[in-house]
Amino acid sequence: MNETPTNGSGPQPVVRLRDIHKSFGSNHVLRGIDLTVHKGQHVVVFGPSGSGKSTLLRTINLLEVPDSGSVWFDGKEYGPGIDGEELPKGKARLLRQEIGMVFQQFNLFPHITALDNVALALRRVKRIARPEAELRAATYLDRVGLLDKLAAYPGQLSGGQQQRVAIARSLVMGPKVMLFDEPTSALDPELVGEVLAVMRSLAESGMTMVVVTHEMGFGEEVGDLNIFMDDGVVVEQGGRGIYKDAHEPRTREFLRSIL
Amino acid sequence: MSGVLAQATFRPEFIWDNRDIFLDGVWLTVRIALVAFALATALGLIVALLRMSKSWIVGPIMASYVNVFRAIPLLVFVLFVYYGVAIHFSFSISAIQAGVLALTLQYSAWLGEIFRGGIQAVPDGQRQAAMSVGMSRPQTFARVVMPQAGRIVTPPTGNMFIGMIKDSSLVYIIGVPELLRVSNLLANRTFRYFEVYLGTVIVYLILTTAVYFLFKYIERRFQLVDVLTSKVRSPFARRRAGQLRRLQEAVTAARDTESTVRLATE
Ligand SMILES: Nc1ncnc2c1ncn2[C@@H]1O[C@H](COP(=O)(O)OP(=O)(O)OP(=O)(O)O)[C@@H](O)[C@H]1O
Ligand SMILES: [Mg+2]
Repeated sequence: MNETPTNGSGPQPVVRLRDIHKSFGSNHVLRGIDLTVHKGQHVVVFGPSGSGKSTLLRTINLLEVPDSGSVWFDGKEYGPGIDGEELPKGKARLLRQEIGMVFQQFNLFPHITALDNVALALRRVKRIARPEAELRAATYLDRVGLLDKLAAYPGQLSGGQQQRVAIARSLVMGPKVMLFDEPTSALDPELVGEVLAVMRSLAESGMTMVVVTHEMGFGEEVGDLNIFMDDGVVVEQGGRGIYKDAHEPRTREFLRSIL
Repeated sequence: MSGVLAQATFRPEFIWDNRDIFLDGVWLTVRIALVAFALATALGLIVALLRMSKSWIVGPIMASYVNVFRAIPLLVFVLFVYYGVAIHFSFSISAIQAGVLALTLQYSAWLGEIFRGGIQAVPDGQRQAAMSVGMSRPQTFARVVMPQAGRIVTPPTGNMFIGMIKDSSLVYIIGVPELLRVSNLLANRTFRYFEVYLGTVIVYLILTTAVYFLFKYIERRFQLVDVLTSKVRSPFARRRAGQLRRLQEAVTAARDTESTVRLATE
């Protein structure tokens, strides 16, 4: 339904997954997933726990290497390697520099300041000198409203602040796509809003995003493409309307269960 | 005769009068402990990394290494390495080298377990976050995993260092003239057992207390303080706070001119 030709004149897909399969031991977690994300598109993925949402997201930046299928980014194939050959070293790293990822548990580096969290990859991956890296890092902390917290350590920040630093840490690398894995699930209810606000303005600014979330309001508001996953397959996908009138019984049942 | 006399009168100045003998022993004790501990730390790190290897053969081999060296009493091991192996097979190593070797091997097993625990205590999400911004595995280990594991293992490693200073005394048995050995010789020669061993005890106490405070200092250095809000005013912290304030001013000034997107409104 949502297939768009990759060649020809249509909009250029940024991310393209084809027939992805992934097992952990005997646990067949992804069973043939196709996903195409276009520039500027906002994809929202939802589904029950254990359905493979995180694994799918982690396949996009090859934190998880699929058993079969192909991972394309920006018109180039990155994995899993032709005929089962190993992924060339460093190739996944190039891919990850162009894809930001935000985690449920923030995963800030607790032993360095907010500023250093944001500047670390600029310095070590992009090899930008410290003064310039710190200026850029501070600019991104300012964008998420945390310029005054630049010298704080993650342990001294609230969950919402930590997640905003984590977003800045990804954004500062200038990614073409941002992946969010349940970014608000670990937050106290009163802190969810500030993180969603940042994500909403990021979406408005035109960033391409893939968001796993159970915040259906967010999906209704910014989800250009909304995907319901269960048991490693895409059960149903659609526009903003999917939350009100899903076709598949499994989707309806899931949406009812989380309200 | 004189032994009986010596027990009758306590002469604390005896310790001071023989300070050169004690100092010679202490100096060797310190060197043995430092060298053996440095080697054991390096070897322990290798043991820890190899034990976490995904290979089906390396991990179990290192597990056996750890279990074997931890299971042998150190005194027995010292004798085994020197008389058992070095002399029997006529390796040309000195008693000091044999003693350092025995201490190193056994402590590398203990430290290896401590380091492995520390590395594994760093949540996997930390590695994932580092890799997600494009850091390589070595960078991730050096910049993200190691500093956190280092903080976790510092207190138990300090205990191991104190243990090393104490355990280094066991090499007296193969004739290494460290603190305990020179104390024994002095006591046997002068019969002033109480003064001699009191001196020995005091010296060990001073050494281990110094190490204790050294590690307390290191732990304090690990404290994470926000230089902008804390009242700690070390020259370094003050300089850094100045830099950061200028950085904030620069960003605030650029905010109005640049047409960058602000993602949060506060
Ligand atoms: N590294 C791993 N090793 C083994 N099994 C794994 C691993 N990662 C995920 N799994 C398994 O894969 C399945 C899908 O996990 P995944 O985290 O992708 O689900 P999810 O949809 O994100 O669930 P949740 O909503 O709870 O986050 C689960 O059964 C999980 O136990
Ligand atoms: Mg998940």
